[in-house]
Amino acid sequence: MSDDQSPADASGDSPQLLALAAEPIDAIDLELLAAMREVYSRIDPVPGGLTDRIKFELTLAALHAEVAELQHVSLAGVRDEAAHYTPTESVTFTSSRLSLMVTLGPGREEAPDTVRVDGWVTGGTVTVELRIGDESRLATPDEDGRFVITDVPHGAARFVLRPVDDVERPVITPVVEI
Amino acid sequence: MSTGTLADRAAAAFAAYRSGDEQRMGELVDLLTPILWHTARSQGLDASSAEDVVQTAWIRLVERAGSVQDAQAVLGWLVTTVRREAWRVGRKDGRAAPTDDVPEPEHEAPRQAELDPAVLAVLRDDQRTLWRHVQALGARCAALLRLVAFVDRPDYAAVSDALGMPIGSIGPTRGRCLAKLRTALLADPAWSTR
Repeated sequence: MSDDQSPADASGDSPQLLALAAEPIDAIDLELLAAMREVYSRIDPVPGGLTDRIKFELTLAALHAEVAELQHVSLAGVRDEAAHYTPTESVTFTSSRLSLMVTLGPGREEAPDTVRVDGWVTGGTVTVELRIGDESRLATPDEDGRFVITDVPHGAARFVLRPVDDVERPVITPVVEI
Repeated sequence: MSTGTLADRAAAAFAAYRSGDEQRMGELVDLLTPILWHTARSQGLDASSAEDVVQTAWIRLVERAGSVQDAQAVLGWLVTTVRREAWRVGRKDGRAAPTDDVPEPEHEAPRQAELDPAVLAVLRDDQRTLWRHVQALGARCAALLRLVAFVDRPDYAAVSDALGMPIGSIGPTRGRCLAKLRTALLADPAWSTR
């Protein structure tokens, strides 16, 4: 078959190819595409953590929030009566105006797999939201800026501080493992 | 819950997000980030630029959620945004100053993403054969087939449209890119004897 049997095609593709291209997609095509999907998933996968980073960016954009800096982490072991080593962690975050210090301690006896969060906010009057997984816990600090959130499950968590005056921007912390 | 094509599921999550269910944005990110990643990479961006471009597209979507008229179009909107942003970033890295005039890819073929050859070691022999034939199609066809491979059949047309490829590039007919790949592969003993 020669090319002059069909009208000239700008791409220079052969009539056989054009005929093949005009057929409906069949099972062999779907198999090829499935194989391509597997190849690209293996050689060039979506980077780990990318979706989490995107979700964080979107939260920031939606809140118009300032991101606090993780200032200080200290880890002190506390030996309890049963000689278990129970870590107590203290973390400080700072933003341009606010500072938040949280101390993580063991949960109540009735809820041993949870964490107690003791927090202290300085620099302004805020409400506190603790986001962990899909859960959200709210706390209102007392007049000294102190708050407690109990029965917190373990996981990746961040705090959102919302100024009660509603004029200043909210502050969101980086993720900490609780 | 999760029924329908990728575009349908994305549309449902986006519509719910727009009517106030903010949690559904997370679901949309999980659903569509893979195809946006492959869009950015198929336009020739390195991994870190590709991440930036994908993030930028998501932030634009949140900022301009109201301007996406039809929730059903959200997949196409995001792929188009990534493609245009990738072109802008690629141009900035390359030569002249960035411009707002994004040519349709008819005029500006995407570059192939550079890939460390060592990466190919994870593939089986037949997969390496497939990859080689996809590369030989040229950047436009490779980009189209790569994206189509990550969506369901009814979404092929939306994806090729978002890539600026003409209607009929793929779906319901095979289209030239897939016809070329199929012809080359079926003629290659390394594939047919697999």
